[in-house]
Amino acid sequence: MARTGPATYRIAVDVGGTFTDLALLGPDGVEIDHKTSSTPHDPADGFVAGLGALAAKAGLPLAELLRRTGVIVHGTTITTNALVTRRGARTGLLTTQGFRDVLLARQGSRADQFDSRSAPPPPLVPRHLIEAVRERVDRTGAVTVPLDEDALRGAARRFRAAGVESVAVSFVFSYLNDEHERRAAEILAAELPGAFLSVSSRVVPEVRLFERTSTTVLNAYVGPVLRDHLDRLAERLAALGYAGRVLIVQSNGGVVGLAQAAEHAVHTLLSGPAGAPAAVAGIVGELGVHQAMTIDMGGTSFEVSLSSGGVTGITTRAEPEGHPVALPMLDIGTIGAGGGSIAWVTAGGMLRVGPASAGADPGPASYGRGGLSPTVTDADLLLGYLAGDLGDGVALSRERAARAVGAVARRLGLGPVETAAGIHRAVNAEMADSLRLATARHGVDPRGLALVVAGGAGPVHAVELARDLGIALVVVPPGASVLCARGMLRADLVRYYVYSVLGRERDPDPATLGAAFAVLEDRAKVDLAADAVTDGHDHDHDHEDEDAGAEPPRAIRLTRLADVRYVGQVHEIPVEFPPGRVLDAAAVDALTERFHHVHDQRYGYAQPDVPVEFVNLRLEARLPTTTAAPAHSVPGAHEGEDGTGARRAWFDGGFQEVPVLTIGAIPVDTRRTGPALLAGASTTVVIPPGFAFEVTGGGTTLIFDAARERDEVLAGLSARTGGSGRMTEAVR
Amino acid sequence: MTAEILATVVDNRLHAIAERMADAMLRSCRSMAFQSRDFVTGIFTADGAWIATKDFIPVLAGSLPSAYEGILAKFAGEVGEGDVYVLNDPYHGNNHPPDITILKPVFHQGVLRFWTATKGHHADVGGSGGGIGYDPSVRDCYEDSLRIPPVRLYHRGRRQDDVWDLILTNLRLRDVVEGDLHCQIGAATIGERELITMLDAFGAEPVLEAVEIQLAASARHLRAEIARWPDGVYEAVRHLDDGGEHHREPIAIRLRLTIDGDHATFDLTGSDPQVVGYANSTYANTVASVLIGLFGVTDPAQRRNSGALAAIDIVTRPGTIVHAVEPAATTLCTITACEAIVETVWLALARADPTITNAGWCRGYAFAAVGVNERTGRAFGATGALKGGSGATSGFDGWDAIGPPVAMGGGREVDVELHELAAPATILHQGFEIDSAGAGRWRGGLGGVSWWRIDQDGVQVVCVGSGALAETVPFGVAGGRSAPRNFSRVHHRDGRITEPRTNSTLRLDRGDVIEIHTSGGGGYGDPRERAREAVLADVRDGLVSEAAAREVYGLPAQEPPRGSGGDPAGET
Repeated sequence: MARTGPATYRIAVDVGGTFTDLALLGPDGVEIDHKTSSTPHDPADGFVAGLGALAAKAGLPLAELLRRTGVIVHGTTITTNALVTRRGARTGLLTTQGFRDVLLARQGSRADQFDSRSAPPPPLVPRHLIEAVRERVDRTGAVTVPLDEDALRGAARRFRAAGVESVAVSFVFSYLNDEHERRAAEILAAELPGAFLSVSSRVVPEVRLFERTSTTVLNAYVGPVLRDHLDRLAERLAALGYAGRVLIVQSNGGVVGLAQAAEHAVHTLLSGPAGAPAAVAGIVGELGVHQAMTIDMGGTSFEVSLSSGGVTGITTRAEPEGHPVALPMLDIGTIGAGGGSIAWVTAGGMLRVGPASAGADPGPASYGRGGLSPTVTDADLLLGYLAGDLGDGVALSRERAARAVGAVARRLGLGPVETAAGIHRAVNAEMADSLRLATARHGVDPRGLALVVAGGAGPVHAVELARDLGIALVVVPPGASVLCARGMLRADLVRYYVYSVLGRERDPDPATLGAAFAVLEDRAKVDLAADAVTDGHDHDHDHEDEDAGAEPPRAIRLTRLADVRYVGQVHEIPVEFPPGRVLDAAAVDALTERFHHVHDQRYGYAQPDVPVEFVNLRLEARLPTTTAAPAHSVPGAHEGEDGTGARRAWFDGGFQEVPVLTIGAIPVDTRRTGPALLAGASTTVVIPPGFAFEVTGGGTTLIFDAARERDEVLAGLSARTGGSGRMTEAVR
Repeated sequence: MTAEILATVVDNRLHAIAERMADAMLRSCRSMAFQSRDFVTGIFTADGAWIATKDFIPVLAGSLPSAYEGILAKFAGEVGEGDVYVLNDPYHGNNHPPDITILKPVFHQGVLRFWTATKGHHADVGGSGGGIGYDPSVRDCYEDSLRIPPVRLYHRGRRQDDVWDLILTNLRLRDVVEGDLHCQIGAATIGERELITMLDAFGAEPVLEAVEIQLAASARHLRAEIARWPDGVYEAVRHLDDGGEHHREPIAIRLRLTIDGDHATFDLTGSDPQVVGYANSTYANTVASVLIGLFGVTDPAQRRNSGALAAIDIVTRPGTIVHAVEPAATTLCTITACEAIVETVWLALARADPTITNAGWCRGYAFAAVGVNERTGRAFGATGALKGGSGATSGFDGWDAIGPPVAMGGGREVDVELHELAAPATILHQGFEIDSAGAGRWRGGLGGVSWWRIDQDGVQVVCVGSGALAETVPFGVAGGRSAPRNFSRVHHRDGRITEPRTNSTLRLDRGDVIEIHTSGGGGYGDPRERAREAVLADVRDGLVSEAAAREVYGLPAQEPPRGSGGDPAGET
């Protein structure tokens, strides 16, 4: 790994399905960004083309820029796309005899219970590529049936004959004893040279065979896709003379080196929006806001995440495309509502919006691409909230929108505009319902949050959503569309470690817990040292972790958590140990107290007289790659031409002539009041009457109740009254 | 915002709240039954209209209204803020004893506006014990379980310690049940908090108007669905295998379904008399079962609430198997009687128009064990067997291992590792069984075969359910074939092999192994019309045998498919 001197460049490249976003951090701290089309046949093409454009904007030849660049942070949706389009590797599954159908049986459940006219999601591994071999480890970790190696070789031969490129290995209780899985991997490696191997005790050493197997199979399914992409990319960059590091963004918001990224490809499955939290952390941190909810409302999806003190919540439950993943990842919930959500009327005459979506193709009726169904976007257009075009050359047809919405209006017996207002209102309420559930799961009261809105259709709906939820402040960052890339510039190196306590000992004492954490912490030290970055943006690490443990390097931030539950409960809550190097009885007591409180917040009761037990110990190790503050927007980077106009838009039950302002042209730190429409790069911020707004020097738009002052609102959100520092443990 | 739009907003919000309540229960529960989602949540208006539900197990949901009525019959007029009511007695409106109902009033600015309800299957409700409440040897409701009539667990916010003591003293697994009662009350409290927030936001009067609009729309919705069905009178008969140890004869449930325009009448008065034993269905359970039959074939977007109930009539005769009167025992009714009632609805509809309906689903057939785990010192209650398949519909194969229509796939199997950590049992095998589905142009979902080894002496195991007789296997529709029957064997450690009788209790020792076969679903349409590539894929995946592919599906002999084979099962 090349170690460059100080004062070099750092580049982030976020490759999405449609666009590739790039951001460049210069030695002077100034950021430049660029947006270009993605090249799905080989994403490396768009990657390299984007680098060229970025170099031009920076006024450097590409070779020169790359020579002076120490780190390229790369976010990719290639694994997500492989899963969605079902173009992953031809995958086999090797499991314990007797459990061939653990995945296919889906735990006997169906999401839409009453829909018998439907088929289950097709499995990633067809049944004839699932092999079950004799072996067994019992609930104490003891081997009760030795691994049948001959049978395993037979299975490997059948995999080879079937053209299997990737094999997942998942045995019963392997998280307690990985001996058989390790041996199976050795044999498979010998029998199937070149095949990608995904082993459950390495990928996710945790209790629950179904989730562990599903996660391991997903890793096998997308692993070769990511490996091949990264290999090609590394070759291309080497050919261009690049000798620095490439770091890959993970679903947990952190970054890892190339080798680890490919081996644990499943960690990138949900990394699409994973860059945003780091950027949001910078923006709300500057405002002094402690807790934030970030929403990203695209054409078909609506994503939400919660952050506290700059750290976004972590979950170990997600089901991309219906396949469970049990790994720590940013808790970014997905809600099936977006601009494309279709409005319809039940046979009983009730308006519903979604869950069906017109997507991007054919898209809303107003796109004129053949879509005939009335969507949220069509309603927003009729209400005057959207301009007549999408900003990328697609003109919106009010006539088509009116025709589509009119059909729903007739069924409801309402006027078309009233119906459009109803669709807008109903989808807002539905989104608010989902956000309420998302916050409640964390025991968080939305009234203590700021709502950060990242691009897309979000700013059209955000202020009303905030009003529904009692949120006092809406934050619209500048250049929201490259928010992820900007966040990636400052992503931390992050590793998560887990040690399953369940099934090992009845009542581990503090010394045992401390010893278990010590093992995890040693691993963290080694792993992070291997990926540590030295490119001039990493100087001046803070040393605030004085008391977080004496052993690891000072800059590594360690957080110890335990998954806790009442004895006899089925599910657990992750709760953080109080910071401090010593894990003693007092620390365990403090953690237990916190657990009782969080339990009441989430579930409506606590039982302080009932003993608690630990299921897993978790360690989060975080090494910042930069201390660079978020740079201000490069002037003129995103804004269109200056000037204001006006448009008729629907507020308070009627149309009004409302000013349309270009965000870049609004004087900084000057209070204005709604109604107003603020035009951004490819969206509109809708400010209803009764709300005030200001644009900060950094280009961020703040929206709040007109009866209040900005400083008063910010002061209300800065106090740490509502948060304990981490979303995993919710409010104190 | 117009009233119609507010109705949509409030309707969505109420369902989100019911879901939030279920989410809280799921994440804070104790028993394996709750973990497998054997519970529901609901919301009622102050007047008792059932307006929202999260029905993981629908047979629990459709009987919420009668539980509400049972509680209010006793406490109307003296309901106060902070009260919590409990009920499990089937003769005060509950469906069956193991499902304990919790009801909590929601006051807003001093006025009763809503009720939140939760109901779940508890690990223990006393009585003679059996497996998770199921005891095939009981004769009447006194032997069946502890009977809890409507009583208060909290009165004006004060915990009624004497009532708690009276209930918990009668239970073997008092810690588990106490925890799960708190879990239910906690969820009801979460619902209460959320409803108050909603009332604050929109005001009580607009919200109540919105609820009225929503209920009327639900009634119209169901009427529109029924209106699409051909008018006529359609009859169907389905059976329970038996009524428990004291009634070893099949019992008939007879439905006369009259479709007249947009109205349907479900007349079950011709059903057999109630029996001595635990298989009798309460009226509440019968209503819930008819609703599953109905909602299982209508638009999934239909809301399941009091509005929909207004569009149908259900007629029964007290003293019959579908309308038990005191002192009949009833614990099995949420499984077997429910399934048989649902089947009469689907079979009658098949006679009206097969494209509407489902072929028969598997019957519930389970082995349940309870006791204290010697290894952990903790009480356990466990069931172990891969569930059976669902029936095919016009255009779709059934779902594999989804279980009986009681749950409609809303349950979730306990993970094998969690199972083995909690129970003194080892699951040796749990997989699909080749040729277990009813053949058809669209075939049934697959059933399973499970091998379950007992790891300590003297474990009481109950075999519960039905579907082990030729007349109770899942039926085919429109030329589709029926599926094979449920059956089981016990491989005793001394080498004996026995076949347990359905609805009987076994005492098993360390090393004994139970082998359980659950049926797939019934098929739809002539199997010879099944797409050839679908048959070949099933053979390749080891789901249909080569012999069945030729003999039942008519695959030509010159097309020799190669299967990936069945799976060697068991290690006895």
